[in-house]
Amino acid sequence: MIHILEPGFSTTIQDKGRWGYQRFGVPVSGPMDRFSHRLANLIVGNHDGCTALEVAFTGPRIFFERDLVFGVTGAEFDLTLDGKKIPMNTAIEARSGTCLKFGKRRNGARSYISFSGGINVPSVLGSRSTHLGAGLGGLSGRAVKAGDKLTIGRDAGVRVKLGVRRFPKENVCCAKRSIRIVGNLFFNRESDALSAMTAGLFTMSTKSDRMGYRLLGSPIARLKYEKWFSSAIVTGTIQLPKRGEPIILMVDHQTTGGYPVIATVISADIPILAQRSPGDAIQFEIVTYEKAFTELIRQERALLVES
Amino acid sequence: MVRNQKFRVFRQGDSAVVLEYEGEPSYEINGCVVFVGECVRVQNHTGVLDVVEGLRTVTIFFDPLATDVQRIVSALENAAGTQSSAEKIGRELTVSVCYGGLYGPDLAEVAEYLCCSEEEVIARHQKPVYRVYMIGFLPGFPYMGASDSEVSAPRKEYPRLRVEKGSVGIADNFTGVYPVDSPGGWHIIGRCLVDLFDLDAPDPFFFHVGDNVKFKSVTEDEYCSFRGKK
Repeated sequence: MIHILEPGFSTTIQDKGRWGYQRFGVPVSGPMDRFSHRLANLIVGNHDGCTALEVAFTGPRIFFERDLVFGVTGAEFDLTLDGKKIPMNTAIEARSGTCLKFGKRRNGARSYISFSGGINVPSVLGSRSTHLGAGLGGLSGRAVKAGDKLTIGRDAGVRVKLGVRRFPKENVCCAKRSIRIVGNLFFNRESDALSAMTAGLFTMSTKSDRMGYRLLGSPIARLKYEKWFSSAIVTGTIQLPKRGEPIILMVDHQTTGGYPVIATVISADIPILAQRSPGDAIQFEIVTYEKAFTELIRQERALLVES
Repeated sequence: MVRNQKFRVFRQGDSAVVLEYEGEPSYEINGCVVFVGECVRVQNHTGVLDVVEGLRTVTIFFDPLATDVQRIVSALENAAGTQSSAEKIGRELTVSVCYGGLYGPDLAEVAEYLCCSEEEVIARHQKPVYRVYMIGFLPGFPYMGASDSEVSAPRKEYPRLRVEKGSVGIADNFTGVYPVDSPGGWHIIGRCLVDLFDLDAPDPFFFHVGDNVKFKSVTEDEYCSFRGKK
């Protein structure tokens, strides 16, 4: 068991997401930064879709009531175990009776705490991911709160010898660089709306969460286009509502929407976006579909490196 | 007839492909959408994460590291190409609605918009057989349409902060039903007692895309006695 002493701003249980029910209107959810979530699981010997805690903006204080192995990835926090500084991106063996504390956040927005064996919560529609809006998954669809006791699985993971695999030590997803997007059938490199997207500097609004990021900046003129009918939304989709301020849809997004889609963030950059906070600047760069694919492969390689 | 339904296939980001039919959402287009959706779902292609029906689209979500985009495009094109005129017919469902009053606070507004009486709106709303074109917005929320629909209204200028579960709403030519209490901008004309999303039920979702739905007016007394039994 682990005992939550302080929950942090919004700490939720996430696995790889609730796939397969979007046609019934059920959002996928899952980790905002999929890369760091997978890395967190791999460093403690879990399979990469195991349940872990997603920490947002401020971190929790957790008391361990048993010996366990855990790891923290993603946003850089000052971490201590019983007052002693501990590193990120590595498996740590903790004794029963010790306390993990998240201190100051140095970089990024979201961290992942994995436990060897995962966190035991019931599966809802094939997933343990929390969707706060729909009240689904995790702990009855809510964020963790002080006093919660979570059960850690004993042998749910594919236990590997710790320290055998070498993983990235830097928090790669906290990089401060432009977010890469691909156009679509209606908006390509030549279209004015996309040019305006890449020319402008946007600020992430405070009205941003796991469902979507609202961007502040010079409004983008909506040109004439054919009528849009509601269809499935993809994570990373950049919608342009009437007022011209773009919205990037993130992992908790509604399943369908009818606003014009002007571009989509490449899969490899969703984790980068996940590490931005309200007030941060966001700049876009158009890339080709080929580039989007090679970037995804490059990211995947980082998780495959064996020493 | 359906064989000639025009479509195009395009990418939406690096991990989704969309098949989109030309024209306004209709029974015919929904028939094609349901067919193609079922077809690619049954084929169970490697790397496919989800298949999602829209008003006139089928979107396949895939893992670019596990499959090739061209395979996904081909799967959609082949499915659309093999479409026969024997379109799959969805289930027939009847939903009892208590129209107006406390349960349909916007009935008068819709009547005004359509320049007819409230009774006329109720009569018109029960006439067609609606088709579930899409489920979205909230888990289990159906977007239902009918070619001969005579009830329409724009979205409300000021959305309500709370629309009661079971509320039957109108937006454009669509009828929707709220599965849970939620903020909402549809004109509410009545309420029903159906559980649209129930995790404890053998099938958690009352509506499926492609279902055919009739609405039947019940009195407030009947509605209350139904509710008493639940």
